[in-house]
Amino acid sequence: MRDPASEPIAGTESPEESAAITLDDVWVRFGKPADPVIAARELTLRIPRGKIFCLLGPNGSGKTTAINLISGLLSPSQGQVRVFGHTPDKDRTRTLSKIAVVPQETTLYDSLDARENLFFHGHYYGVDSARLPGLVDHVIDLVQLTDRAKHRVGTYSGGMQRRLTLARALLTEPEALLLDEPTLGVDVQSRRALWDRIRELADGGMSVLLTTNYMEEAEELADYITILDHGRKVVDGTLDELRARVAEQRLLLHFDAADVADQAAASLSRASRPGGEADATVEVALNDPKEAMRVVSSLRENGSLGDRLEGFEWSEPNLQDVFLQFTGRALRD
Amino acid sequence: MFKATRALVAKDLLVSRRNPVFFLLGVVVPLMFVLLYAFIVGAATTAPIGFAVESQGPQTQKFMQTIRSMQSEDGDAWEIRTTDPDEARKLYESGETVGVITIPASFESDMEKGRAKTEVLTRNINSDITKNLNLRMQDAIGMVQQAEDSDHLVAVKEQNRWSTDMSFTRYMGASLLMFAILYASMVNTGTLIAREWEERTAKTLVLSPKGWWPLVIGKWLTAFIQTAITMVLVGGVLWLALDYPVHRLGPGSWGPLLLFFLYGSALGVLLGVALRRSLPLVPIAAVVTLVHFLVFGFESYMRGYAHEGLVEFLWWCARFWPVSSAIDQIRYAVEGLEPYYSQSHYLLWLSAVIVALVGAAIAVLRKRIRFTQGQ
Repeated sequence: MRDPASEPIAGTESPEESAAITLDDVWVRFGKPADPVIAARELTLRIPRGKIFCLLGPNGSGKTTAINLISGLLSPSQGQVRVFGHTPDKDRTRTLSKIAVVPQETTLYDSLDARENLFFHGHYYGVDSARLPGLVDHVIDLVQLTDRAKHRVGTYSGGMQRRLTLARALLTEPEALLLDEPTLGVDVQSRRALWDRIRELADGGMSVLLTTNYMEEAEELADYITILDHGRKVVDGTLDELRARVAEQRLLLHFDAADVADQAAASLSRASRPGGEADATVEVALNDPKEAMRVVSSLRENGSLGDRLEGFEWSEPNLQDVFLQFTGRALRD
Repeated sequence: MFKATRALVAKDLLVSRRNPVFFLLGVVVPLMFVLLYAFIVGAATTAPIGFAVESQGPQTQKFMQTIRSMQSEDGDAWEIRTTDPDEARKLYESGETVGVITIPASFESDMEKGRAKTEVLTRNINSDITKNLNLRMQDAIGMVQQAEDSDHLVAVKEQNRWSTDMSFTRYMGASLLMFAILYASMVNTGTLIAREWEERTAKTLVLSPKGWWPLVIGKWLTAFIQTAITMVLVGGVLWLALDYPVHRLGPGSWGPLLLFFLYGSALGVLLGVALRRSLPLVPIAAVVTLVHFLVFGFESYMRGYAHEGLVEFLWWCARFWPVSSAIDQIRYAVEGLEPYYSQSHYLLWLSAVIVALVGAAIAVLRKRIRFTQGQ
């Protein structure tokens, strides 16, 4: 599989240099040495410059641990983390001046308005006072909050607060943006607006690390995807590469009546009724696309079922299929 | 770092102004406590009394003059409401006075015979009041007898460490100052920290490339400003209600007061990072401060009186906890007295306690920031 870090931005750079952030064989252990809780194991990531790198995983899989490692809040028990050449837990000042973190939850002062929030953040993070007013205006405009800039944040919707959180992160003009589930709990319109801004930032050269539980978000944005589970990387690659890794692909057969669909499901191996008893669709899991035509032909030859077959479609696996295949269907804490 | 610190102070003061509940709690509780204590102290030192003067004559006049001239360190020894017998008994029955002291009709002739008696009628619901009245009467009688026949009197010759007694109100004033500054600094610092979790902004603050110092100094400065406002108001109430000489809180008091602020702030930071909620922090701070007031605020009061049982154990605890010595230091400084035992150790110990508390708070903070998801 192609390593994302092997795509140099400029021709003179080595793959290592082209990676904005790297984690090499990182382990994080908590608790007693005899019975440790392992939050990350053998974790190796290469987050390329100017791309959107997406971390997927069930709850507790290690996504936030990875962000905490990169931002220096957490030190690896073993292995190495590098952020633009700096070691985050040892060189926090230089590391934090290169990155901006958008935490999982809205982290704004409700009793201050948008401009007051941004001015405080700018001063606190050491943004040049002379440039700060212009930067504040720019980022407020970028997230389309100019009209509401003087309203207290407590009156904002969830989507507006997430947009303002993104604007705040951009105030420091970071080289890398760490987004921890940035669209959690926001409506479709705000999510779309946030996606547009994130894509623009990456297109402008910013490196973006995005964690999310929304598959469509990763499908829409990610240049590279890594799926984590139990603190370990289970698979990575581009969206197409990951789809190709899914063994099971699906043939959907549409009949003219539900009882006929029942008969067809009973006669085919690895068939199921995804739409329930009232629906007339049968889903057949296949390992090879060539098997699809063989199944359809055999049905056509069977007059009682073949005459009632109204159509069929070949379903490509989506990211959710990939996710479930590699992380399983068991519920997580 | 200066710019970041200034930004944090300005932000916190603005948030406190727009959402002042916890700042007001840091002001109102000490003010009310001081005010209530001032009423109690006032009542204890100037309990109103009625005199039923049924006798007339020079001995009676002399006796009453002595009574009226008696003073304690907290002011007049007696607050005489009336000398009319009927009025005195009526006031006693209605509960407006704590007792009636009767100078009987035979007082003049009894004095000549050398067997004069007065009667004390009091509601003995509290033995302290009864004892207090009896002692004052004994004192008055002794003064009269001394004036009559100083050659045949057994008198007490006091030899005190200091030339004047410290009044109860001044003794209490230092403890009340400690109460106010400890509570205000604990609530102000604790809620300023806890609020960052409630607003979910703690992680953003610690991720600043400017490091931890603007956060530590900024929070302490804001808490200092808010606590200073509380202390100005408390000082005013102490002065007005207890006649406490706040103008004498000179350089000798600044060290202990600053240490109390730092100690309260360190406790507040620890509570703030451990609880991460403002609301439960306030009652906990009140209980912690009250324990300090009742135990360490009275250490030198208990000294010599604590025998056996819990009170002796409490005294031992209070004796070795540096807060007690720091309170005494304020008392000595305000009164201009020379301490009779070494005071220097409390500076070292209280500083060590503050450092330990701040260290514990930082350890808890780092753990909270690292191990929780999101916040």
